[in-house]
Amino acid sequence: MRRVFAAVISLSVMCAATPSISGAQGGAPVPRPPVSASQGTGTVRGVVVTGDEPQPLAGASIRLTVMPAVPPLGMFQPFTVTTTADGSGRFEFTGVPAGMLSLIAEKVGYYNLSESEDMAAQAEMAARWPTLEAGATLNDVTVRMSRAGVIAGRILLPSGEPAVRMMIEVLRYSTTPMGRRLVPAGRGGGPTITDDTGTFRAFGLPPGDYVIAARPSSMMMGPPGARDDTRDGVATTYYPGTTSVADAKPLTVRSGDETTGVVLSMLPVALASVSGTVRTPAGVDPSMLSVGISELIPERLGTSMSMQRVNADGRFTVSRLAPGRYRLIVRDLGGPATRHFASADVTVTGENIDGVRLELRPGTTVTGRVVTTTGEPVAGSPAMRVQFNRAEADMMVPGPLPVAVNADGTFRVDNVFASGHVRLFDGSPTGNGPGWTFVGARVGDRDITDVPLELEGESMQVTLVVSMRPAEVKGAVKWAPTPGGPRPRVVVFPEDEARWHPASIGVRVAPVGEDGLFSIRRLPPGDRYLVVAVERFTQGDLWTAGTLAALKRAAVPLRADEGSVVDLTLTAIPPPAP
Amino acid sequence: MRLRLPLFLLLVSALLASAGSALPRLRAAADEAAQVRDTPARRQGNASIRGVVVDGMTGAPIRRAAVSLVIEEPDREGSRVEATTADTSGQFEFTGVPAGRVQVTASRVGYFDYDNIWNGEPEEPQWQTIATGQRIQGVRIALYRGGVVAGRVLDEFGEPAVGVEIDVLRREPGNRGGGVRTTSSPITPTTDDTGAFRVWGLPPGDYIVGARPNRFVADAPADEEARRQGYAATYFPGTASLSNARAVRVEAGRDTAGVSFGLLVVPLATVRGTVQLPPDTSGRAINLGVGLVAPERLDGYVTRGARPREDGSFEIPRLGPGTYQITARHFQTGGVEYWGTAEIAVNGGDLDGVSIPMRAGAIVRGRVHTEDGEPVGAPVMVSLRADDTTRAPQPRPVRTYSDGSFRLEGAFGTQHVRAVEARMIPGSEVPGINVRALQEVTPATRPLTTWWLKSITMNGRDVTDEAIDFSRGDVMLDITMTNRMASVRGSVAWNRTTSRRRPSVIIFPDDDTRWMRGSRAIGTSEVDEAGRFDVRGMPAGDRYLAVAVDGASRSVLAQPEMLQALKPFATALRIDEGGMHELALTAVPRPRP
Repeated sequence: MRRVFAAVISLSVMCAATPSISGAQGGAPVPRPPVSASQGTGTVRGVVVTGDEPQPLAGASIRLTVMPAVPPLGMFQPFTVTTTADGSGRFEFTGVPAGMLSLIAEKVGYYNLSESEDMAAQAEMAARWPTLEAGATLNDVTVRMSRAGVIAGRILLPSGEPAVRMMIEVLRYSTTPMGRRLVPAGRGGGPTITDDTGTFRAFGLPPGDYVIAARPSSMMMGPPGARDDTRDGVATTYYPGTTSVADAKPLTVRSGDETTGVVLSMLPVALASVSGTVRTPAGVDPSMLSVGISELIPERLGTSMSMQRVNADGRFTVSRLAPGRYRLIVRDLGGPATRHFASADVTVTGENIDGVRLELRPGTTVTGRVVTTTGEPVAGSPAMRVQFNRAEADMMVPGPLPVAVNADGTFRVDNVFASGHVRLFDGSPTGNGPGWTFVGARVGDRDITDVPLELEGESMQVTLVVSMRPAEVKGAVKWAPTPGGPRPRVVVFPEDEARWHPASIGVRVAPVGEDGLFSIRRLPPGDRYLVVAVERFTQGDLWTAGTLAALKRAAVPLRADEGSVVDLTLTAIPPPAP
Repeated sequence: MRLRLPLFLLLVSALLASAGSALPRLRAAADEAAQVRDTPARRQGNASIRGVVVDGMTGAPIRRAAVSLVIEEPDREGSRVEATTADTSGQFEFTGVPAGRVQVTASRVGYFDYDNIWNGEPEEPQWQTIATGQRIQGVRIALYRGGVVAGRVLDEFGEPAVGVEIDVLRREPGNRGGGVRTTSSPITPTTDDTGAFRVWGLPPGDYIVGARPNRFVADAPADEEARRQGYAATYFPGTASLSNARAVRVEAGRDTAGVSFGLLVVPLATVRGTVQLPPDTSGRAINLGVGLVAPERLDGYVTRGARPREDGSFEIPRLGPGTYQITARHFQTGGVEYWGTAEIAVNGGDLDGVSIPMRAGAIVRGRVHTEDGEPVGAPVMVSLRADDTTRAPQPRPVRTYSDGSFRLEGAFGTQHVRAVEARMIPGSEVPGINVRALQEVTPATRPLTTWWLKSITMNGRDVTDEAIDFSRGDVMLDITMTNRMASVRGSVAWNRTTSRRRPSVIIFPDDDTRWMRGSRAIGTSEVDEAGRFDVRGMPAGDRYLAVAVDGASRSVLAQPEMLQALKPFATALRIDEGGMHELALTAVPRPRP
């Protein structure tokens, strides 16, 4: 019964004739009755271990999830069951259905590998899931856990006094489609705030390099609506003592390290206030509004937003801002949707700024229809939803509420404030609904499948195109397997470079099963695709500059007509050099 | 003020480098559709206030405390706040202060700002009157370091319990023998990976420390054994019962360490039942709230939420032993329409067949008028106030129409009716009544013409101080307001040299059953620099007591335990309807708890 944060999964399936782990820790093992999952006939048994030797680890809680080999169309809940390992780390599940297994263990003080790295490593784990046949027994599954690390220390004010109630941000670099970004390290324990002695403790850290930042817990302290003339304060300071993210030096945590005694002195800066007015349309009361303010830091994926109330006369003042670039936003919520929105970017350099004007404006209404590639109308359904994939720069702009396509194939999306790539989406893992595959979007005659929709005026019309007969590519991959190493991946992408971007629907990465087979279904039909199998390749590698160009040279052309099934055999190539 | 406001034109830049982002461009347009409101300009002046913030225990200055100046704006029926930060020697200055009433307060994280405390209750700051061009020097504000409670929470195996939220509760006197309330702490502490916690910044007092393990069910444990057990909210030294909890004493500036205890394991049960759905409503549209009924918890204690199925049937798994109130709410835009509640007792075994009826809220209609039957010459705000135990939703307050009629929708449970004169905050008139812009009229804001509630009758019966049961259906009320309220005025003598703040006056009935929170029969007044006080709006009665208390603010005085302690020192008083009474009082020292 330990409520803990997630821990490592490193799954390796050991075949028969492996000697069982000896030297159980402390006392005779208490046999636990097997857990019946009562939805299948398979059995999974294993042990939780830790350390280099490795040694059994008692008392972890284990969750088993089974993903069917062929996921059903639409949304579904995979089969899940949990249990607790016994005193010698052993566990057993019975009645397990066939499919791909994932085992996640949790225990205090141990970490989850998939949190330690980026999406690339998470996809990595997925590629290694063992498959359970119906009614089979899997013995000696080993779940590996590693000790979590701690970074602890004290934060000081420039005067040497403890910095009380400062927010500590523990960040790590992650590869995203937009490039390398600092993101908060996923770990247990909630936000870390310094106490009255300036002390902080960030625990549950997997091995990795971490950037530590201390920042005042709210940019505006003091009564709401107050005019604050405080001109000096402390800025967000990165270890070992800089206000610039680029100059921050990460701290390396190795397995189970406790790095204590980290001391960081916050740097003094000149603070300034930003004032202005919010102009509202008739019927909107300014005193119900708040201005959100967030610092724009290119290396970071999003920063926190503070709010400041707007006075009844529309004026607002945001005080105590350190130098930097900020975005102010105001939203007017009419029910769950945002009806009006305004935004302004401000550069603060230590002098007060007045006269910022935020004028609330309504969004654009986007209407349209869904048709097939031959122009026939398509019947909509609650699962067929219109979605706008906004760019990173627009993350603070409110998105419209999800809208489903009507039965007659028409749709209407209100309150669109930021453009993005328009897509149809149904919430399932493949994104496409039963029978239909999204293949394109048009405004008039202009194809906007690969460019964000430019919002013009109060209303616009968009046509969304689906194919009822998508293409499928499948086959086998030849590669030289390494023991315990990841399997290759198959990448399909359009020849046209204009379609190489993270929101592209023509770029697909598929895993290769244990049997060397792969399958890519629901591919938008097209005649100019390229396909290649790559060793040690992950989703995250895709958008590194030059990757697709390098793959193009080794790829094979592929023609994927409507309704066609292409069967190929590929030989995996080494990953492109960075 | 020290604010320099160079007028920069608007600094709007387009978005970051990324192309293809099409945020609507801001235009500096004179758009007729937009409204820019005119309000009375902020008052300016040339008085100044200088002072220092010090540590009350050591006398040393506190560096860089946050200091606030609250300036009353009677024209705007409110006040505005100017803030600054004291310098490294603790000194601060406000300039350009207009004549009128102001409050000066200081704060610093980890410190509290009252030295005489009565059960940890914070005091409201004093108003000071400042004249045109007056230079006030030497204001001394004392802050005190909060105390610290530290310890560890362990699980049933003696291992650290990680990520558990810590509750720090203070006993508070109340209507029914008191209870506990969560104290406001600068942060919500949770245990770290060693199970340790540290709660700092606490005013001195006796506190009950509790651990609140995660109460939302995340996993579905496979084995029956794991499913049927869970952790209870546990209080130091290791009990699930508040009455058996042992309070720890916290002193200013001191650490109280070693407050360690283990979480209790309790059997969990599943509760099943059905919500009696309103017509044409799916069960999926209903929100269920499950709250632990703990009369000792004065601050409300919600356990979790749930959603029924389409047909209204529901299942709530993993509830620990205790008495729960399950409430069902059906929201539509504009407020709660249907609501219902049921109370259940859980003690380890599953419960089936719980039925939750739902009702439409009652409509409260009526008319507000003067004693002559005419509409009151000012708008009146009618609202409902729940008593402590009911969890019924509160409908939005409404304002009377010009003929005095009103209509309030969505009244549930047992509630008191309140009617007060109200005014719209200047500059906030918008189409459609925004009740947040309504402001209660008090003698401080409108000394001359004030309307007070005289009586509320329902079917000819006086229900002025009674809670009305709205579960029986719609209600018609007749509300009488009067401007002939009694006034009790006078002067207070107190020792100006030794007292840190001016006294306050409280008038309360002899009958302690009328000492509940929000009672109209309790009236308080501050004492101004000249020693004058004025308590208004008291209902007539012949068994009142009046007392001036040295160094106490009004909010502290109204606690029942305080009133009990003050009784022997009070002056008996009779209040006539619309009468003007004069009293001369001598301040008595504040009783110790």
